[in-house]
Amino acid sequence: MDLELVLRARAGDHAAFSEIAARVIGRLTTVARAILRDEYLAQDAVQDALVDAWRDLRGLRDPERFDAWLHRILVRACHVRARREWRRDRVEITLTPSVDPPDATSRSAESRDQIERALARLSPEHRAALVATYFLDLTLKDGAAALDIPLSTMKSRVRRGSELLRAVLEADERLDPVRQEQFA
Amino acid sequence: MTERIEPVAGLREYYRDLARVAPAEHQLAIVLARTADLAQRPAWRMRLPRLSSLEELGRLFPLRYALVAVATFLVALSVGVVGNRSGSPFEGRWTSTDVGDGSTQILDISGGVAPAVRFEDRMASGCADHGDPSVDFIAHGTAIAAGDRLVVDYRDGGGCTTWHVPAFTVTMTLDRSTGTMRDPDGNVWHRAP
Repeated sequence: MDLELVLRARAGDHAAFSEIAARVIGRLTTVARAILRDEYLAQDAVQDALVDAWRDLRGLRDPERFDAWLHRILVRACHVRARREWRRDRVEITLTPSVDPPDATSRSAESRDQIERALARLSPEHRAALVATYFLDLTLKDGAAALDIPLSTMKSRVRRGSELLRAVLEADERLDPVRQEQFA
Repeated sequence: MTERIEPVAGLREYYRDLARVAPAEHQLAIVLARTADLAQRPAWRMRLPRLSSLEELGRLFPLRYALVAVATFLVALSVGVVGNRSGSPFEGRWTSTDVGDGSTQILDISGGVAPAVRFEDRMASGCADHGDPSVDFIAHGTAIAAGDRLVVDYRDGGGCTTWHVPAFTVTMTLDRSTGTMRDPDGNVWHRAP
């Protein structure tokens, strides 16, 4: 994130914060969707996170660590929302790209659906560890800082989350021929 | 720390696909409305423990203090100290005449900083144009009040009987000098008598 913008926002410049929010809202929404798997909850978590970020920005000691700090706030907001997951109207996210993806043919929709189903079996904590590592591309150390958890916990969640994901995908693969027979 | 754990095949592509779904259009508007008049907290406040949930609150406060707080609130409510504190300039019933087709529109807004909103257009030309047997268009939403602006998020959209529109967001702007509100379509809203 542009350091000057962060410094201006930290000094109370709302226009600078608006610019930051416009730049990060897409990425934050993706992270929240990946953790919560619910469009409305994700929208609420992103709003909460950005409002908290604005309110607490003066307390940011190291502006160069703004992104990690913001991710930490978002993950916390996601966990709060996940705990309150009593909403009646939930919406499944439709993965319809807003632009033509350059590599749309590289992977089948079936494979994507399999991953979607497998991720649904993980806890929000495991999904947060995976999204920090494989979407935000943070190192384990930075991921642990972003999620506000010890490094050992971060490692264990990424490893365990990956293992669970593989196990569910393998089980899904084994079931697939059976399904095909049933519907033949 | 450079240690990496090999990702599951296809996981990164899954996230990339997820990132292609644009955030809802109203998201940014709501965030900006919620923060526009929100004061930043002084830096020293961030060193205090964060109360992100009732569980944490429960751990920090013994039950007896919580009960005293609840009892105090109920007493305050009963004597009207809290109940009369709303003071939202948006609260109440508003009406306007649609500049597009001359129909009467009604807006009911509850109190507080995040009020519930009910919008009704009693002669909606959109419904008539789409062959809906009813022309009474109704939408329910929730709003965020920020200064002179009220951003209303109609999350479930709205409609008549058979014709419905998807989710939409409307920002109402209060004109304190005239006591009226204006919406983005140029409609002027007056308080209902």
